[in-house]
Amino acid sequence: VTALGLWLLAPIAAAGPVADGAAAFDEGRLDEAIAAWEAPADQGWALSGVAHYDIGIAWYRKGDMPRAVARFRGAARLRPRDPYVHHNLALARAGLVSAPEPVGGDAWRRVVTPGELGLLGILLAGLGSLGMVLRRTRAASAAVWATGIGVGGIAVAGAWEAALHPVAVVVDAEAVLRDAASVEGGERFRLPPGAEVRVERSLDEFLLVEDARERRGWVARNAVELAWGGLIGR
Amino acid sequence: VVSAVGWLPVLLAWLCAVASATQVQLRAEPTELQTGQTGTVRLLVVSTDRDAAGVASRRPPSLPTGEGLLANFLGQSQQFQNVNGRVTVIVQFEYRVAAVEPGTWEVGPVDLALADGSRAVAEALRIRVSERDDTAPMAEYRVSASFDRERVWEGQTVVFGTRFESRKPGAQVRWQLPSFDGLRNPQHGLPSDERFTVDDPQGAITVRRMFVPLVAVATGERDQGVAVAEVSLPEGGADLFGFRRSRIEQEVSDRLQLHVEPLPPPPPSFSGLVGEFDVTSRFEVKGKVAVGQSVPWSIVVSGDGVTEGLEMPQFEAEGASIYDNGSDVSARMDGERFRSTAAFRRVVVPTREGTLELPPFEISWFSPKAKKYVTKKITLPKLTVVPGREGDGSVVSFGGDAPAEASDPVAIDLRPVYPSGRATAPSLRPVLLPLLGLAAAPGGLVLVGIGLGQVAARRRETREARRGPPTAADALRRLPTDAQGRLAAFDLALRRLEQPLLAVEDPTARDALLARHDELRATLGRVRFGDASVGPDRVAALEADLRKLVADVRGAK
Repeated sequence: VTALGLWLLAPIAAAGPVADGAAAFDEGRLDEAIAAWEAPADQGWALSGVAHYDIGIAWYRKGDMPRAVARFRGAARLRPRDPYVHHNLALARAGLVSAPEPVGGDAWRRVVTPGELGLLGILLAGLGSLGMVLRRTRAASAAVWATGIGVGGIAVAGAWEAALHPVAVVVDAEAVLRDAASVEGGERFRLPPGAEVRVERSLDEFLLVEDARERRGWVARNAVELAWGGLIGR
Repeated sequence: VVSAVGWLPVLLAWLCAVASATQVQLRAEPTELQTGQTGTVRLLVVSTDRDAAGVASRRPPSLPTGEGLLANFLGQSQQFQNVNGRVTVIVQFEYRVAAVEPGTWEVGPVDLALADGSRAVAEALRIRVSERDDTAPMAEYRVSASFDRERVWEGQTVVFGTRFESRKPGAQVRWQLPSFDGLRNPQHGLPSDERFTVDDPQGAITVRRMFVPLVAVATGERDQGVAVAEVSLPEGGADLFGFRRSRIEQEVSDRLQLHVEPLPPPPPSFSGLVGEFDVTSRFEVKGKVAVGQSVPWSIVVSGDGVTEGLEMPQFEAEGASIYDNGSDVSARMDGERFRSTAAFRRVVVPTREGTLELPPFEISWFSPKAKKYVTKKITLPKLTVVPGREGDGSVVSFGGDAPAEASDPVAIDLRPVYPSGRATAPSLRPVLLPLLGLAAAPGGLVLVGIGLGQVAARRRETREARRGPPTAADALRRLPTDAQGRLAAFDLALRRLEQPLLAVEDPTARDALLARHDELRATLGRVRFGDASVGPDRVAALEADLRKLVADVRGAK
């Protein structure tokens, strides 16, 4: 428990970058603010929802709506109940010239993060276990235990799903989606900047992505911005 | 008569896609009859509006038919289906249609007055009646498999169909489909599988039809191989295990060939569609609209080719903003035909008063019937835009001493940055599963223990039930070591021996054995309760006598 506590609390030590970035942002130095907020990511840390959110605002201020959308989606994954995140995400989407329907996600992830759901599952499974070991109302304990396992299973599946299939946003220019992971692959269709797609897998410098209309194609990695790295890597 | 209504969900999904409140449709099963045969025609009223689903009249709608058909109303049913959280009411009128004269006869159209006062028309369908051929009696069964056409264009939809019919009740068929070389399944539109019965003077005919929609993706001569039907025909009664005996026969179709023509060079506006299509455009508001008012606009493309991947051109018009509001693509097998629909929803928001003229747009597709690309120009109506309701122009701020953001006109509504907080977030993903396992393990072990205990108890019960009541031999199997305990066990064995003794059929042997039993019992009583001391020799002698008696009783039985 102590080790877990220390591990959870350790990132608080890295709170400085948020304040540093906010100071630079207030002074209008947007590039410096983005660099400060992204500094932990360069050291191998996963950015928090707050950092994603702040970076999204900086990109929005710079007028780069696709990158702002990517960052706000990253923030929405980690802060699903934060109304500011959803508000700004909607504004950034509205600022796009044209973008197709964004890819969605599981409904429960709009309410809780996989980590929160997982902790609830662990708590329930632990309570059920305790009840069964102490032989107190065994049927009720078994029900709590099974619920905990189910909730935990959903959380683990959700966490892996998000890690394996992050969301990416087309940035800078229209992206060409091809038949194969090569610049010589035949063109299937194009997506405008700001289009949100789901990453299926990666191969070399290409990502296999799927849009909301279930069309698939390989896109160059540098043509999109990942909302979060997951197992694909930044 | 019809075994299932499996096409209903498909129909409902279709209705949802085209976003229509009430749909009326006629369906015939089958569409081909011989004189003297009787099929079924259904009139379906499918509605998302409960008030509109009923018909105004209490009498069933009359079903007009051609002279060669005779229709009789059979019954009416109503059901509710939940499709994507929306309740749909389905009212179904069923008619029996008897074929009287050869020819192709129309059934319908049916003009229906709905309960809400509106009217809906079900389009007519055709039933082909052929002359009855009694000279060649129908075999036990008939199977056929083919494509609906032999020459298609690249990207065109082709339907592979199988048909099985038999007069033998309980006859079944299983199809092994061909390889479908150079063809792919469309993303939308599942194969259909219909079963129905045709009443015939010589006995009911069970028909099973399956239609598989496919898209030609490779050109040239495509040899599809053959389709194999494995027909199971019931024969005789049930076998030893109660299963019905059946005879299996295999039928092979003719070799299936398909010629796929490459498309000619397309025009710049080619949409990628191949087939016969119809394009409709509709504004939800007619006449005058206000500045800032949202005007829903839908464009529906429907036809017999696939519509997946179809995109509408981006619209830009002076004096209005146009927003994408989603799209739906759906497809289904409508009898033997493939039907596909793509519905695009947009919202037009006028930004200034005056006359709003949206530019016309064109959509091109390849028409296999015309063997060329056809282009349809959609002209959009003019909208008169009137001024919207005006506010007083004052701005009220609830932000207090807001930071510099409030002064930025671009980011006026953007929520501010978080000045503090954690910059990094630990991911629980790697530890979720181990922690869950750790928390669940004690409970899991207890559950496994309970389960194993129950299994063991059940096995013990089964074993005891199989073994029957305890016997004298059981009592002698595990004897205690002390003398008194052994004597008590002997007593138990003697008592258990009474029942088997009485069951000995030979009276002489039974009397002799009973005498030995009584003598042994008396001796045991004396040894247990009379003598002061019990020696091991005495006990051993008693045990030997008792074992011999037990063996003799078993032998006598």
